Amino acid sequence: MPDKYVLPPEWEWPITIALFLAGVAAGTYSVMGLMHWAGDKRDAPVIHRLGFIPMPIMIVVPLLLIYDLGQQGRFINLLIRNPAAAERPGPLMFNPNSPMNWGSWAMVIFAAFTAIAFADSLHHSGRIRFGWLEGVSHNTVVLALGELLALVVSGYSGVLLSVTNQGVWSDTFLMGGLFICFSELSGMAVAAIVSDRVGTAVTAGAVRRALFGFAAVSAVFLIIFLVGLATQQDGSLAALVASLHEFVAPVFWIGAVGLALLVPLLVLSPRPVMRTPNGSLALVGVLVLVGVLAFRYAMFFSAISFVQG
Amino acid sequence: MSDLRGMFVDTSICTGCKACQVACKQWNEMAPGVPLPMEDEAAVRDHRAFTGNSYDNTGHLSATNWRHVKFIEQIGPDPSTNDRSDPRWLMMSDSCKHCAQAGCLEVCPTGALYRTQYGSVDIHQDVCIGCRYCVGACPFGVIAFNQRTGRVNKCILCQDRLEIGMGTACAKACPTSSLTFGAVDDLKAMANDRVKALHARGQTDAYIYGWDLGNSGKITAGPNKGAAVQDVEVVGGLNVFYLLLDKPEVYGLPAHAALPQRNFVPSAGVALISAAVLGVTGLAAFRRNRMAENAATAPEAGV
Repeated sequence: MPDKYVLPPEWEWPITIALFLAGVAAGTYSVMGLMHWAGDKRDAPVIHRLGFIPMPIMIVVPLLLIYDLGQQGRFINLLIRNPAAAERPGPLMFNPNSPMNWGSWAMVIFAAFTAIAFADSLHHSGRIRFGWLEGVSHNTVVLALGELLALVVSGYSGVLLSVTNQGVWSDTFLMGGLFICFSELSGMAVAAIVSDRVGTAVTAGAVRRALFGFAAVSAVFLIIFLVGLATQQDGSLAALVASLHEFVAPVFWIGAVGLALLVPLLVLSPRPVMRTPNGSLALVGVLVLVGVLAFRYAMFFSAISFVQG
Repeated sequence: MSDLRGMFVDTSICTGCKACQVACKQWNEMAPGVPLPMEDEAAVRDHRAFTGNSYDNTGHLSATNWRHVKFIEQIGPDPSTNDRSDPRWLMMSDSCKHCAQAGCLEVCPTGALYRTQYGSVDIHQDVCIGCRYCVGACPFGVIAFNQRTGRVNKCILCQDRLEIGMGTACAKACPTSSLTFGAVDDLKAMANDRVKALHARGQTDAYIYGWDLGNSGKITAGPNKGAAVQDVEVVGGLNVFYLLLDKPEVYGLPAHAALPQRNFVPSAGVALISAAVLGVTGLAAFRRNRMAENAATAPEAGV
């Protein structure tokens, strides 16, 4: 129920940027794994370039998240149980009821998998040879675990927002699903940019189809999200509309809906309604990334601005 | 007798003297602070940093106001008209409710928030990292981020006083016994007796917010006159609970407060479904047409 009894958590822009970047890293890793399983040799150049991307991002993300903490020096309390903390079994800190704990641990472990992917890409680039890595990085179990962790990193922030008492965020079960959709969309957008540069025509064609498909799935989820809020009898949609004011409204409609969803749907449709200059797939990818950032911003600040308003 | 300790807040005898607020500030050595609008830089700049419409100058609970006496001014039966007949002021001394199922405690990722032996919810200040997740999770807007210390603060039910056998400072200072500290079971019995006594006197709008003790009645004055009210139990019960004379929303209390965890499993489930749908969509995009291509060119599988 949207209400003004709650206080806003006062999360700032570093959180939005961090979660956007984490989504891009997780989405890129997921798409890399997807191409590994469903693709073939012709996709290898793109797969190996994608492997370079998640790890550097996953170094920046924790720094941004720590920067936003009130007590930056104590971030370790998220992972190692402080002796003064509430009783829990073992030396590690893990509260299964807290999506923030799930996310913290998923990011730490996922970072290790991105390092493996990075080293594997380095190996395939010929710059540094890690022959022993071949068996590890392409192991189905390793890839599956990495994919699973990538999904947790993609979606945990959406679930985290749902598991609050903030209007809009807690009025729907769809935030986690929506965040996964837009994370995977951003990952496929990165694949579009890379495949436009180094990919074969076959890879670029598959990425076009996948990006269109991901945009369609994301659009369906977004529509269900809005309809779900509208059908609640407590004014949840009104709360969202009220909160989508000033700067947030154009960011949502132009950025999240226009750039992230409509651009790929109109440009990459089997019967394109619009065309990019020279048919550039990379341009579509860049626009989608900007749109996904706008989506994160709008979702994040809608409830906060509603409460503060 | 249970070890649970709490407070019963009888709003029907609160005079709004704010002695409880002052006692809380004194005992916990908190700075006087400023009303909410003073924190608004634009309001300060424009010399509007004062509520100006009420004797309530605290505004709401915050990191430096762990107790707040609310002034609810019902001037006339319909606020939209100039009818000033039958006015009434409702007062309520508000604080952390020390919920039996506390949303803040449930989501805390570091174990900084914990349940004491008295059933209250306290904060290990040395463990809190200032992530502010608990702020968004509290259904009552109680726990707040302290910009100065980078941690969260709220009423801790005078844990230090309880450990040496004293009651809470606010209850000690209350001159009308509107705030009563004690064992929760005893307080519930006392509250039930008080509601029944008020009903017997014709004040049928009294009911309990925090526990369902089976009382119900009708509001006798104000804009909601005639509306039915009944005891409300929220988040498994409140160790600090209230006797109210109007709807919970009038006092700034949610009628249906809930644990944030209610969304955890459904939200995670939907996330899994979306992941599965996207996985199938992606696989289909990369597999499509390749079966035929692979049959024609027979490229080596895998990379």
